[in-house]
Amino acid sequence: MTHRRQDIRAAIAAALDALPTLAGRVATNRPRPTQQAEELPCAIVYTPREASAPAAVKTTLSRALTVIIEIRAAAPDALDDTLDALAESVEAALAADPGFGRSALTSYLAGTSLDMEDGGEAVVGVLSLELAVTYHTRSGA
Amino acid sequence: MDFSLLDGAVLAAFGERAGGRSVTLADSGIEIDAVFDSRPFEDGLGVAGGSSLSTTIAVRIADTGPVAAEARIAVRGRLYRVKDRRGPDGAGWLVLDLERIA
Repeated sequence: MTHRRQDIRAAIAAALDALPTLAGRVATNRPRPTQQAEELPCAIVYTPREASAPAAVKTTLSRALTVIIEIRAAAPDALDDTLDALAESVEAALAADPGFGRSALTSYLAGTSLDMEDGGEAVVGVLSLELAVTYHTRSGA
Repeated sequence: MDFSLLDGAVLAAFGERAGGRSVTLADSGIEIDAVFDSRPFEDGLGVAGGSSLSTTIAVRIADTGPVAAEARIAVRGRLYRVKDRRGPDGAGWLVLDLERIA
Protein backbone atom coordinates (compact mmCIF):
# COMPACT_ATOMS: atom_id res chain seq x y z
CA MET A 1 0.00 0.00 0.00
CA THR A 2 1.38 3.39 -0.96
CA HIS A 3 0.93 6.72 0.76
CA ARG A 4 -1.66 8.91 -0.89
CA ARG A 5 0.98 11.54 -1.63
CA GLN A 6 2.81 8.99 -3.72
CA ASP A 7 -0.41 8.20 -5.55
CA ILE A 8 -1.00 11.89 -6.25
CA ARG A 9 2.54 12.45 -7.51
CA ALA A 10 2.29 9.38 -9.71
CA ALA A 11 -1.06 10.48 -11.13
CA ILE A 12 0.25 13.95 -11.93
CA ALA A 13 3.41 12.52 -13.49
CA ALA A 14 1.35 10.17 -15.63
CA ALA A 15 -0.87 13.02 -16.82
CA LEU A 16 2.17 15.09 -17.80
CA ASP A 17 3.95 12.15 -19.37
CA ALA A 18 0.99 11.77 -21.71
CA LEU A 19 1.72 15.18 -23.20
CA PRO A 20 3.77 14.90 -26.43
CA THR A 21 6.12 17.71 -25.36
CA LEU A 22 6.98 16.04 -22.06
CA ALA A 23 6.72 12.32 -22.82
CA GLY A 24 9.55 10.48 -21.12
CA ARG A 25 10.72 13.70 -19.48
CA VAL A 26 8.76 13.73 -16.22
CA ALA A 27 10.22 12.86 -12.83
CA THR A 28 9.04 12.97 -9.23
CA ASN A 29 11.03 14.36 -6.28
CA ARG A 30 14.21 14.41 -8.30
CA PRO A 31 17.19 15.55 -6.19
CA ARG A 32 19.92 15.78 -8.84
CA PRO A 33 20.38 18.53 -11.42
CA THR A 34 19.00 18.22 -14.91
CA GLN A 35 21.43 18.03 -17.79
CA GLN A 36 20.72 20.83 -20.19
CA ALA A 37 21.54 19.27 -23.52
CA GLU A 38 19.94 15.90 -23.01
CA GLU A 39 16.98 16.45 -20.73
CA LEU A 40 15.24 19.73 -21.46
CA PRO A 41 12.41 20.43 -21.63
CA CYS A 42 11.28 18.43 -18.65
CA ALA A 43 8.91 18.54 -15.69
CA ILE A 44 9.59 17.55 -12.10
CA VAL A 45 6.84 16.98 -9.55
CA TYR A 46 7.55 17.73 -5.90
CA THR A 47 5.38 17.52 -2.79
CA PRO A 48 7.28 19.74 -0.36
CA ARG A 49 4.59 20.66 2.17
CA GLU A 50 1.42 19.37 3.68
CA ALA A 51 -0.80 20.68 6.45
CA SER A 52 -3.40 18.53 8.08
CA ALA A 53 -6.21 18.82 10.62
CA PRO A 54 -9.02 16.63 11.93
CA ALA A 55 -11.96 16.61 9.57
CA ALA A 56 -15.60 16.80 10.59
CA VAL A 57 -15.65 13.04 10.81
CA LYS A 58 -13.44 12.29 13.80
CA THR A 59 -11.67 9.33 12.31
CA THR A 60 -10.69 11.31 9.21
CA LEU A 61 -7.73 13.60 8.63
CA SER A 62 -8.10 16.45 6.16
CA ARG A 63 -4.86 17.14 4.34
CA ALA A 64 -3.85 20.20 2.34
CA LEU A 65 -0.96 19.18 0.13
CA THR A 66 1.22 21.59 -1.82
CA VAL A 67 2.45 20.17 -5.10
CA ILE A 68 5.12 21.99 -7.07
CA ILE A 69 5.51 21.21 -10.74
CA GLU A 70 8.73 22.60 -12.16
CA ILE A 71 8.76 22.98 -15.91
CA ARG A 72 12.32 23.47 -17.13
CA ALA A 73 13.26 24.54 -20.64
CA ALA A 74 16.05 26.20 -22.57
CA ALA A 75 15.58 28.35 -25.63
CA PRO A 76 17.80 30.90 -27.36
CA ASP A 77 14.87 33.26 -27.86
CA ALA A 78 11.44 33.80 -26.32
CA LEU A 79 12.01 31.45 -23.42
CA ASP A 80 9.03 32.88 -21.57
CA ASP A 81 6.78 32.00 -24.50
CA THR A 82 8.25 28.50 -24.62
CA LEU A 83 7.57 27.98 -20.93
CA ASP A 84 4.07 29.43 -21.13
CA ALA A 85 3.22 27.11 -24.02
CA LEU A 86 4.33 24.15 -21.91
CA ALA A 87 2.41 25.51 -18.91
CA GLU A 88 -0.75 25.82 -20.95
CA SER A 89 -0.71 22.13 -21.84
CA VAL A 90 0.23 21.13 -18.28
CA GLU A 91 -2.57 23.20 -16.76
CA ALA A 92 -5.07 21.74 -19.20
CA ALA A 93 -3.99 18.20 -18.34
CA LEU A 94 -4.32 18.88 -14.62
CA ALA A 95 -7.67 20.61 -14.93
CA ALA A 96 -9.05 17.64 -16.84
CA ASP A 97 -8.88 15.53 -13.69
CA PRO A 98 -8.54 17.68 -10.54
CA GLY A 99 -9.05 14.65 -8.32
CA PHE A 100 -6.25 12.64 -9.98
CA GLY A 101 -8.45 9.61 -10.34
CA ARG A 102 -9.83 9.13 -6.85
CA SER A 103 -6.65 10.16 -5.06
CA ALA A 104 -7.79 13.64 -4.03
CA LEU A 105 -11.00 15.51 -3.36
CA THR A 106 -10.00 18.51 -5.39
CA SER A 107 -7.09 20.58 -6.58
CA TYR A 108 -6.48 23.98 -8.09
CA LEU A 109 -3.61 26.07 -9.40
CA ALA A 110 -2.65 28.29 -6.47
CA GLY A 111 0.23 30.18 -8.04
CA THR A 112 2.91 30.37 -10.70
CA SER A 113 6.42 31.75 -10.60
CA LEU A 114 9.09 32.18 -13.24
CA ASP A 115 12.84 32.25 -12.88
CA MET A 116 15.53 32.45 -15.55
CA GLU A 117 19.28 32.10 -15.70
CA ASP A 118 21.59 33.00 -18.56
CA GLY A 119 24.97 32.30 -16.97
CA GLY A 120 25.52 29.15 -18.98
CA GLU A 121 25.74 28.68 -22.72
CA ALA A 122 21.94 28.60 -22.96
CA VAL A 123 19.22 30.63 -21.35
CA VAL A 124 17.38 28.30 -19.00
CA GLY A 125 14.08 28.95 -17.28
CA VAL A 126 11.94 27.28 -14.68
CA LEU A 127 8.23 27.86 -14.44
CA SER A 128 6.96 26.58 -11.10
CA LEU A 129 3.29 25.75 -10.84
CA GLU A 130 1.96 25.45 -7.31
CA LEU A 131 -1.04 23.20 -6.88
CA ALA A 132 -3.20 23.15 -3.78
CA VAL A 133 -4.52 19.62 -3.33
CA THR A 134 -7.05 18.52 -0.74
CA TYR A 135 -7.55 14.91 0.25
CA HIS A 136 -8.76 12.94 3.22
CA THR A 137 -7.37 9.87 4.87
CA ARG A 138 -8.38 7.85 7.87
CA SER A 139 -6.51 9.05 10.94
CA GLY A 140 -3.27 7.15 11.19
CA ALA A 141 -3.39 6.02 7.59
CA MET B 1 57.92 44.01 -18.65
CA ASP B 2 55.69 43.75 -21.68
CA PHE B 3 53.48 40.73 -21.05
CA SER B 4 51.90 41.11 -24.47
CA LEU B 5 55.07 39.52 -25.80
CA LEU B 6 53.67 36.28 -24.41
CA ASP B 7 50.45 36.46 -26.45
CA GLY B 8 51.87 34.58 -29.36
CA ALA B 9 53.18 31.87 -27.09
CA VAL B 10 49.80 31.60 -25.37
CA LEU B 11 48.00 31.14 -28.68
CA ALA B 12 50.67 28.76 -29.91
CA ALA B 13 50.16 26.62 -26.82
CA PHE B 14 46.44 26.94 -26.16
CA GLY B 15 44.86 28.33 -29.31
CA GLU B 16 42.44 26.32 -31.37
CA ARG B 17 44.81 26.32 -34.34
CA ALA B 18 47.43 24.65 -32.18
CA GLY B 19 44.95 21.83 -31.71
CA GLY B 20 44.25 21.61 -35.42
CA ARG B 21 40.83 23.24 -35.04
CA SER B 22 39.37 26.45 -36.39
CA VAL B 23 37.27 29.32 -35.13
CA THR B 24 35.18 31.18 -37.65
CA LEU B 25 33.26 34.44 -37.42
CA ALA B 26 30.24 32.89 -39.08
CA ASP B 27 28.73 36.11 -40.39
CA SER B 28 31.85 37.09 -42.33
CA GLY B 29 33.50 33.72 -42.79
CA ILE B 30 36.75 35.07 -41.35
CA GLU B 31 38.83 32.51 -39.54
CA ILE B 32 40.51 33.58 -36.31
CA ASP B 33 42.50 31.97 -33.55
CA ALA B 34 41.16 31.84 -30.01
CA VAL B 35 41.57 30.10 -26.70
CA PHE B 36 38.44 28.03 -26.10
CA ASP B 37 37.16 27.30 -22.62
CA SER B 38 34.03 25.40 -21.58
CA ARG B 39 33.45 24.58 -17.96
CA PRO B 40 30.60 23.13 -15.88
CA PHE B 41 27.91 25.55 -14.81
CA GLU B 42 25.09 24.98 -12.30
CA ASP B 43 22.11 27.26 -12.70
CA GLY B 44 20.62 26.87 -9.22
CA LEU B 45 17.06 27.21 -10.48
CA GLY B 46 14.29 25.30 -8.80
CA VAL B 47 14.75 22.59 -6.20
CA ALA B 48 17.53 20.55 -7.78
CA GLY B 49 19.02 23.04 -10.21
CA GLY B 50 20.40 22.31 -13.62
CA SER B 51 23.81 21.51 -14.98
CA SER B 52 25.17 22.90 -18.19
CA LEU B 53 28.30 24.55 -19.56
CA SER B 54 29.68 28.06 -19.52
CA THR B 55 31.63 28.60 -22.71
CA THR B 56 33.99 31.41 -23.67
CA ILE B 57 36.67 32.16 -26.19
CA ALA B 58 39.52 34.58 -25.65
CA VAL B 59 40.78 36.45 -28.68
CA ARG B 60 43.33 39.18 -29.35
CA ILE B 61 41.51 42.26 -30.50
CA ALA B 62 44.47 43.02 -32.73
CA ASP B 63 43.59 39.84 -34.65
CA THR B 64 39.83 40.17 -34.73
CA GLY B 65 39.06 43.86 -34.56
CA PRO B 66 35.83 44.79 -32.80
CA VAL B 67 33.51 41.80 -32.49
CA ALA B 68 29.88 42.72 -33.00
CA ALA B 69 27.33 42.10 -30.30
CA GLU B 70 25.48 38.87 -31.09
CA ALA B 71 28.09 37.91 -33.69
CA ARG B 72 27.86 34.22 -34.57
CA ILE B 73 30.90 32.08 -34.02
CA ALA B 74 31.51 28.53 -35.21
CA VAL B 75 33.86 26.49 -33.08
CA ARG B 76 34.29 22.80 -32.36
CA GLY B 77 31.41 21.86 -34.60
CA ARG B 78 28.89 24.08 -32.85
CA LEU B 79 27.41 27.45 -33.58
CA TYR B 80 27.34 30.10 -30.88
CA ARG B 81 26.21 33.67 -30.51
CA VAL B 82 28.20 36.25 -28.57
CA LYS B 83 26.11 37.17 -25.56
CA ASP B 84 28.67 39.30 -23.74
CA ARG B 85 32.04 40.86 -24.49
CA ARG B 86 34.49 41.43 -21.69
CA GLY B 87 37.48 43.59 -22.42
CA PRO B 88 39.72 44.28 -24.08
CA ASP B 89 41.97 44.03 -21.07
CA GLY B 90 45.29 45.84 -20.75
CA ALA B 91 46.99 43.25 -22.90
CA GLY B 92 44.45 43.48 -25.71
CA TRP B 93 42.56 40.29 -24.99
CA LEU B 94 38.81 40.14 -25.38
CA VAL B 95 36.78 37.40 -23.70
CA LEU B 96 33.57 36.49 -25.46
CA ASP B 97 30.81 34.73 -23.52
CA LEU B 98 29.04 32.41 -25.90
CA GLU B 99 25.45 31.27 -26.15
CA ARG B 100 24.95 28.01 -28.01
CA ILE B 101 22.41 28.28 -30.80
CA ALA B 102 23.07 25.09 -32.77
